[in-house]
Amino acid sequence: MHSIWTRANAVFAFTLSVLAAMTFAAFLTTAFNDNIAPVVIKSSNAQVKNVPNYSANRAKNDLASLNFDIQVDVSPVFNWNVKQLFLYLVAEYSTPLNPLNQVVLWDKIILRGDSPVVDVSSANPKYYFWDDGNGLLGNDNVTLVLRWNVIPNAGYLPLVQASGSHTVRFPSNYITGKF
Amino acid sequence: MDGLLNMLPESVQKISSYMDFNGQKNAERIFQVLIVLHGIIGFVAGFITQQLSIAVYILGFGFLLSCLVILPPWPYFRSNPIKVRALIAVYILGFGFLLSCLVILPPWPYFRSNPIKWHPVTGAPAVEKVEKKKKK
Repeated sequence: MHSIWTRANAVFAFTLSVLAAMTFAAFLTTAFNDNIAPVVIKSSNAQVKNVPNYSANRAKNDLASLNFDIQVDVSPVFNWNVKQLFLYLVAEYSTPLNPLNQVVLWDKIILRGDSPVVDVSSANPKYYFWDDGNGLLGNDNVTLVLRWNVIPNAGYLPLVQASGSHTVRFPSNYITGKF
Repeated sequence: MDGLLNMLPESVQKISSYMDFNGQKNAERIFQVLIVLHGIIGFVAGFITQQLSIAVYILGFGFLLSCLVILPPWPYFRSNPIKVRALIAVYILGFGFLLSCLVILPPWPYFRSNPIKWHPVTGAPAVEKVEKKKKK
């Protein structure tokens, strides 16, 4: 503390320590939030094809297509410790070959400050809905759920499921040709 | 850092920024209080506005304010000038301590001129003595 340089060093280092403590306190204020919001999911026009999956094992697997609606308002999830949310729609179902399948059909990033209302209607999946095998034909318990990952400014990243889901029933006949 | 300082012009390098010991103590106390206070105010303001940036800006302002108050050697921090004669006495005492360490800590040959006469080391007598004790 005898020269200006040592004083500058001391002040700066102390400021960084206080900043760390303040950031930790900010994390504590949001660590116990449940980050859940309600969602309404609908679907229509569910169809299944049976075609070779060249990116997997070249056997004929089920390829599904459907239109879905998503309505959710995620504004209660945002707080001073949230940088952005990563939302994704998952189709969960079970087949004789695999007890649990989870396929992501659609995702979206919402930054803090963007419009928190999501109103997607009659959308196609962003990613292919392949099954490992032929378990989607006539499957009447495919559940669509919306989940999100909360990306904070400080602390861990909670993964939560919105309240509300939707069950899709696939027909018992394959279709041929284009979807 | 020293290299950077040497690049400054001579007139700037000669500026003295010392504070006496009491001034240093006060300076440390002042910046600790200022920065912690701004940290708390920033946290509360950030929580109310739900914006982390507000909290960090207020802390940053506290940092700049502290710099302004305690970096320059204001006269307030030079009101208890260091007593140079007392300092010189301390330095001489310290030098004497170091000199003594140099003279008596290492095992110089001078301190080994009367070697200790240990008993001769032979195997049998020591072992016999131990065995006698065991038989008893």
